[in-house]
Amino acid sequence: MAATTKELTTALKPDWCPGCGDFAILNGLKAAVSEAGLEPHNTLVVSGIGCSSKLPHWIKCYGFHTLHGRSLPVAQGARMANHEMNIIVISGDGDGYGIGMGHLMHAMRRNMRMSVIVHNNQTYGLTTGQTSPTSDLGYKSKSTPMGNVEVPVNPMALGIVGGATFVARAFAGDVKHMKMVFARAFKHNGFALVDVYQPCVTFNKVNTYDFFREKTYKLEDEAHNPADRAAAMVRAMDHERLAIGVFYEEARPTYEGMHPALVAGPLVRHDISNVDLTKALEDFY
Amino acid sequence: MAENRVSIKIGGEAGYGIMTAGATLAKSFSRGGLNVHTYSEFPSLIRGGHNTYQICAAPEPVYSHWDKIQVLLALNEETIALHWQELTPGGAVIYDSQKVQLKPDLVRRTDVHVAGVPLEALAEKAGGKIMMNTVSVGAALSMCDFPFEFLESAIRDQFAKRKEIADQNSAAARAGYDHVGQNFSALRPAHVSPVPGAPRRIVIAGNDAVCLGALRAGVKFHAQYPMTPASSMLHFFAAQERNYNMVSKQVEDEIAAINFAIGANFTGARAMAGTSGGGFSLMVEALGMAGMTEVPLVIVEVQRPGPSTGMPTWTDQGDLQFVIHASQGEFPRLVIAPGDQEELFFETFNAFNFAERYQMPVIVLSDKYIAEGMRSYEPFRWQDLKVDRGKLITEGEAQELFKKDGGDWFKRFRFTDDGVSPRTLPGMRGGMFVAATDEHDETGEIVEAADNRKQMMSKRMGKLEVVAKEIPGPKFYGPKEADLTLVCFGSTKGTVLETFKDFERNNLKVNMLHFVYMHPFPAQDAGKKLATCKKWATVEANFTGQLEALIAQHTGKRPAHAFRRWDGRPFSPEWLFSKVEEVL
Repeated sequence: MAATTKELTTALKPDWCPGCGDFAILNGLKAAVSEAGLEPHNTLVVSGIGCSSKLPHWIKCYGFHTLHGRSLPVAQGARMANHEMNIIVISGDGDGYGIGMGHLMHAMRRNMRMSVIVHNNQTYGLTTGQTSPTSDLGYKSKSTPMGNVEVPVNPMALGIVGGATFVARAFAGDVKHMKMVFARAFKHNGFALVDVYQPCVTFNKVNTYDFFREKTYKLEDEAHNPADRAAAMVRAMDHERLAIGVFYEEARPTYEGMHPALVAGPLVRHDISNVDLTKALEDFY
Repeated sequence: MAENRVSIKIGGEAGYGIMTAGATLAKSFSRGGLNVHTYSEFPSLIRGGHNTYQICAAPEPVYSHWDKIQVLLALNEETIALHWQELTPGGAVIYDSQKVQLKPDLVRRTDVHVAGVPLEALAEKAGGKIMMNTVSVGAALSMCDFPFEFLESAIRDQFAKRKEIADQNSAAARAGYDHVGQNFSALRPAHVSPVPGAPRRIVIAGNDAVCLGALRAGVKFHAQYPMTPASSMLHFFAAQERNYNMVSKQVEDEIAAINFAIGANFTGARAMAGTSGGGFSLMVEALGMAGMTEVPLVIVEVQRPGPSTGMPTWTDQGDLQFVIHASQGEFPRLVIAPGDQEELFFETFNAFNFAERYQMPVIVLSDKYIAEGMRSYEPFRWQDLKVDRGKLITEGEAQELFKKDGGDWFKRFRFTDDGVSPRTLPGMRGGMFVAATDEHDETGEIVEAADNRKQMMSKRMGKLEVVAKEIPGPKFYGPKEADLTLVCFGSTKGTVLETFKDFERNNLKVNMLHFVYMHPFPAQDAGKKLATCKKWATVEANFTGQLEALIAQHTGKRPAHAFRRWDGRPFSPEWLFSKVEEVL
């Protein structure tokens, strides 16, 4: 049975800074979970560490607030144990594209079904404002007082070439559009990467709500075809006009869909009370 | 050689099929009713990838390898140069007479024999050069006077699905066997007879025994990144996936491996990750997560000499203190160091039960010597082992508790007398909670209040006190009255047991106190038992004496002697005997 957004809301209130884009993402997520009909007890929200990763504490589903950068391997292990569980991963640009980048690349290749939402504020918030893997060139922070000299990670381009079967972006300043993107990600049978432009009102004075309102446009408004990988790549590489919406989507068998052991139902439901070793012992005589 | 036992070493370059040949030989002896022990070395690749495989066989249990050999099966010249000194008087070298020009000074002894056999030519005649290893196995078996039929049956089973190849290999083995019989009938460096009516035995390596134990425990998910000497666990599970409806996953690194396993365990499927010390180093942070979030977890750490890359293919016991202390902060964990393949089987099974009953990580500490080495055993009695999932509750029970408590969340980290809380799984109505790696309250909510912190630390650490009451202490082996007690842990058990045979023959009164459960340390029991020893000495494969330090830390007792080695080589009965002889 699906839950209303009210039923998904916890008594405890989020402790993000007033005006933080994370509030909008939480609201968009609750609305999308409710509308998509995901049952809370059959939904597991896995996060890493960072401002964004506190989110599982404020949506009434099962939650696992793991280690910095490790949400994806934990989520994939969970998916292997119960492939009927709805899995939502909450990450940030430091968590997902910095310390957790290695896992992201391999998770995309595997194509296990889960929706990965990356709160991308282009800065490290919880550690009080350092440069992140998605910070713009020249971005000045406590860790790069002379300005960032490293080319920012391009999550959409990485997703498209890395094997993600659903690659999309949303903007925390447009909850309605974001909810639509989340809902499409939930429906996607495979690995869905959703990057969200999420202004950090405390530490990032460059990539603000106004900045994104001015720079972003919706892919749906320009008749972009998500099946067209080359077109998606062109959109992803455009750093002047910033696209939001679904860049790329393809149908590819999921890892769990191809694994013969899972045909017998989720591993968690297999009877393990009396496993017969006769067969496995045969090789050793 | 009146003794009914034999030690054969096969040596040659990688690619000669030495491992296969050795395993076939071991199975042949086992099928003939003998007990076997195997040990393989693959030293420095700079010297051309020289590999050896040693098989020791006897009617009584063989607990370890011996330094001395009776038959050296040299598939190349280098093998003769490297190992001729290991032969006992009367021993023999079998080499390829057509390929190796035996230089007169290669074997500088007159008390051993050299037997030139045209190994490659006989293999070619039987169907192909590649079977040179099979020819040599036949030749070796003939040298021991052991009936051919057992080798034939081992080969038939090995190639059960390919009759033509089985026929060719059988012919190749026969050719080697007959050649030695016809040309070297006077050469009998060893004589071993089959034991009629002996029980049917398995010949198994430690990594495989671990996997069997895990299978019986209901492991449904295994994650691993390849690393010597742990990799064969990955291969075992990959081969058994379909037979046992489980998932064996090779992942991108060991950080992923442990986190996958934690995710699977959290969701309710029994899961483990296998690795060696280097991989375990990468797992350390997540180990703490399992401790903090009270997720059951089994990690198998197969030691090799470190630090860093160290000596990948050799053996060591240098990670004991590391696995006991790994990860920041304090949290409960169990460390089990089984002594042989059979203990690896049973203790891995137990590890899964302990992990779920106490909702904590359990580390099974193995090492190269027992992980890759094989021994023969009567088939493990798995039928009576009972899976115990501890306080895993049903959806109905969860709903009842949830209703009674009220609030947003299920109290997954509820305070209880034994520190273990009723556990729900994602998918259960009424069981919802958030597991957090931050300090948290009974529901999993992040709380940094001092009172809560104190209570939560006591709850988690308290589990260690409860489990300590139930784990077995160290066990005595050998004579009750002894002048010296050898104190050891893990794989050292085998060599000590094997050396007992020499102690007995020489009227030395020596026994052993062997530790399997290392953490929490069974301090009281260990202290009591050590107090009964006339004199005791530690035997361990590390530089600093990690077991010795552990015993001193928990009992205040110090050994009279410490026998250590850290050269990557396993303890042998000859080495240990000489050490003991010096002090008795």
